[in-house]
Amino acid sequence: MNAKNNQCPMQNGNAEILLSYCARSLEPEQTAQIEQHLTACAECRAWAAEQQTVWAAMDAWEAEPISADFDAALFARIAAAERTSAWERWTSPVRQFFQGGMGWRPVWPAVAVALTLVIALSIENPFRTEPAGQTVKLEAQEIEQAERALEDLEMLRQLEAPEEETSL
Amino acid sequence: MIIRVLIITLGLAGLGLWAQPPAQQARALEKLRRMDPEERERALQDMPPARRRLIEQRLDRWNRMAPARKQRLQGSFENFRQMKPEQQENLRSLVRKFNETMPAEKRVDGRRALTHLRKLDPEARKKFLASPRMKDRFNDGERELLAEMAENMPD
Repeated sequence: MNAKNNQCPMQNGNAEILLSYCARSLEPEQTAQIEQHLTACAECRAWAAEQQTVWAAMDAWEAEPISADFDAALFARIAAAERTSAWERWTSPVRQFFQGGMGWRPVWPAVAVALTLVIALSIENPFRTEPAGQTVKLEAQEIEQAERALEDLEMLRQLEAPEEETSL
Repeated sequence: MIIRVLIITLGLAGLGLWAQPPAQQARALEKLRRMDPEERERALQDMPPARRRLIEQRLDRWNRMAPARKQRLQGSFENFRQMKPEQQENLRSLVRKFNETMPAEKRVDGRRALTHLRKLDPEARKKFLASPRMKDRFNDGERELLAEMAENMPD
């Protein structure tokens, strides 16, 4: 890169200089050149900001303390979400579709896909909540399936960045 | 009207595909989750204690998870089960390797790096992995593992 000549590191395929800048490993003179370039180049500025966000998270992240009423608030939110989500997911797109109020003529393929997904998710949503109070029985094979699902969910949970953990 | 009926018919026909076996895993999990403690204990009583404890711990964690995160993980799980069985097994194997070979103190940063890597295109990934700070934190093998994991993870 040559920020002095106002050449853009991103456009020159030379992002290393920006990486070094974000890593604070440049000489002061080069740092000043990059900072000058960043004032004029939105693409580099966005790229550098993204890098710095990651590094800042790596450098500074600490788990926040959990408030005393955390569990109570969490359970209340779960209960509220379970009460409202199914009706809203069901009715809105179906009503609009049958009322023809979606201006659907140019976009009906997209509507068809969305409707199919809505129906499929509503009828075959594997995480659908069973009615409360109903006796539930599990076959041995189902226990193994549940175990496998929990194992895979645990694996996927482990792959998320800690900042994405809003609980646990 | 005919078009709409046709669309719905095709959609319902597609449900047959949607209901293929992998969904059974999630349904079985939901059934297990809905059981009261006594029912669950009876259902799991024949399992080895360590395995049963692990199931109960994971179930408890899942039940207590914030709705937004649960929804995000369900999405990842759906994408994961759309992958071919060999791709799924490959990812499981990479995660095992990550947990077994990455020192504990680096795993949190490893997860952050992974999350970031997944947002980058291949060229930017290479540059990010080759950056001095990544080299400071992760050795060659660890960076290769992170790259491979990012490439094989579901959306």
